[in-house]
Amino acid sequence: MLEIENVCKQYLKTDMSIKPIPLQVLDDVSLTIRTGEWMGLIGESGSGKSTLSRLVLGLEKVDQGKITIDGVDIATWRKENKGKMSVVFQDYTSSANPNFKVKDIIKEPLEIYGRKSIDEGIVDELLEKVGLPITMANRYPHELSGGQLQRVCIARAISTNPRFIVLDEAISSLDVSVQTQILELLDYLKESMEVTCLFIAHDLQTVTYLCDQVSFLYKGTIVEQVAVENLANLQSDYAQKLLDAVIRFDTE
Amino acid sequence: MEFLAVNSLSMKDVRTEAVILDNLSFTIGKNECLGIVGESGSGKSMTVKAMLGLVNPWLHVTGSASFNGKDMLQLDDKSLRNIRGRHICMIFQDAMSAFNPLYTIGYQLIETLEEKMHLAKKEARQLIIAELERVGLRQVPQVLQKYPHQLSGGMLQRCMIAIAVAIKPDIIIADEPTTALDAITQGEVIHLLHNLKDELGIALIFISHDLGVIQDLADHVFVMQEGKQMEYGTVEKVFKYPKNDYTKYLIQTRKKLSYTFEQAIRKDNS
Repeated sequence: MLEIENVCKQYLKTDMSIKPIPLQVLDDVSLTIRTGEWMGLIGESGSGKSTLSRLVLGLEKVDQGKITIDGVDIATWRKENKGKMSVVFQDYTSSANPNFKVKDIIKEPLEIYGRKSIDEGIVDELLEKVGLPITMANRYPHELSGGQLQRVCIARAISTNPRFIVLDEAISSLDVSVQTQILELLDYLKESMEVTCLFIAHDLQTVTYLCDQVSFLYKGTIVEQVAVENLANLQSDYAQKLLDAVIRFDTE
Repeated sequence: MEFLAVNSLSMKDVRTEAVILDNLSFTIGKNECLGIVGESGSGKSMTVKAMLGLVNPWLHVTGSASFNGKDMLQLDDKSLRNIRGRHICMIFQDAMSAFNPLYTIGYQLIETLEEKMHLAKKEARQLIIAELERVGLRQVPQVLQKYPHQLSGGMLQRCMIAIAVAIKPDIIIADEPTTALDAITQGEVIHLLHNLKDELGIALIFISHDLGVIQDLADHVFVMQEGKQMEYGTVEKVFKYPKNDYTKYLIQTRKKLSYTFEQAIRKDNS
């Protein structure tokens, strides 16, 4: 269980003025993700979604409040469980080293987390799992399409068999048809792996496809949290506004 | 009346002999919206760029693209430049790289209006302020003083739309203008384009990979794959009774994406 309790985060905005202006990005955010649950976090740009994910990943420190996994502080948990938390970012081109072949990209976390001998079979297995032909192992990132490269990033993220995974707008910059394919892949991983997930997106449709719960983040506070099946009974105006903004596709 | 008629538009890379666009034909009338759909790399953007002569010299364009009876592919640079920006405006997908990072937004917007509309600086400023307010920007005078990197993607996108609207062209070409925006802003931009079409009678070419957006906005849809024309017809007909396999595939994947969402929403109504 991942617990985010009363977390606050402030950045200093310089903006060419002499005195930096404090900018409250997250204000008293509390969120609980039960083990095995997929939590969708939704909000517009600048609402603090990515900041929250960076705090969970330990890329930033909290100002106030605490984040724990099964009661253990997140920093301690990460030290004890190396490689058990991974992430997939939106920008796949900048998250794959252009000098590495696909197999090296996928193997890198395994090497870092101390697997001395890695047999090539693992790479093939992972490639198969994310639906890529094993011949891709010897290609370079620039030879792959966006959807293929994002699959490689997903393969890398699951290579260490993580228990917690953050998907930060992982499908937002892909075509709709490719988005559907990646969503199907993630759905398969959700069923086949025991993994807890924080899924960040700005599109409610993709979130409902995958997640069990949805949290709405607005200007640094969580305005509402509902189970996906209760999406029709939203309480807050903001969540309702987001729901109404969804562009439907209807051929009936 | 037909504004723009594109006939057997093809494009070939003379270095590699690769065919990039293959025999495309479509028309667009006053107050109409044409949606161009296809996956990345299908040639959606290249189609409009080829039409406007915005392609590299090694790409050889054939066919015709007549705007008000004049074939744009045969025009000299000066006349073409007069059409581009004055009669046909383009809104690009990447708002960040559409502006020069070294000049303020205000300088660039006002300069464009002075050049294209032959306005005095003061008039141009007034006009752009009114248009920026219309597209929903707040604190417009302050925004004009900012540099592109100080504004968010949504704000820059609106600045681009504002300048296109201020010029009041006959056709606006919007190349994936909403892909980089979040859901709420996306909805607002589409609403805005809807209004422009209805109020000002501007014709619209809307390029997108999202069939939902196209269905919302367009009258006709043009489906492309690998530079080829797959299907062309009214939105209703193409989406309801698709003939082509690729169109069917696109519709099916889009439906799958929203299936769970539709189910969750419907529960309440039933």
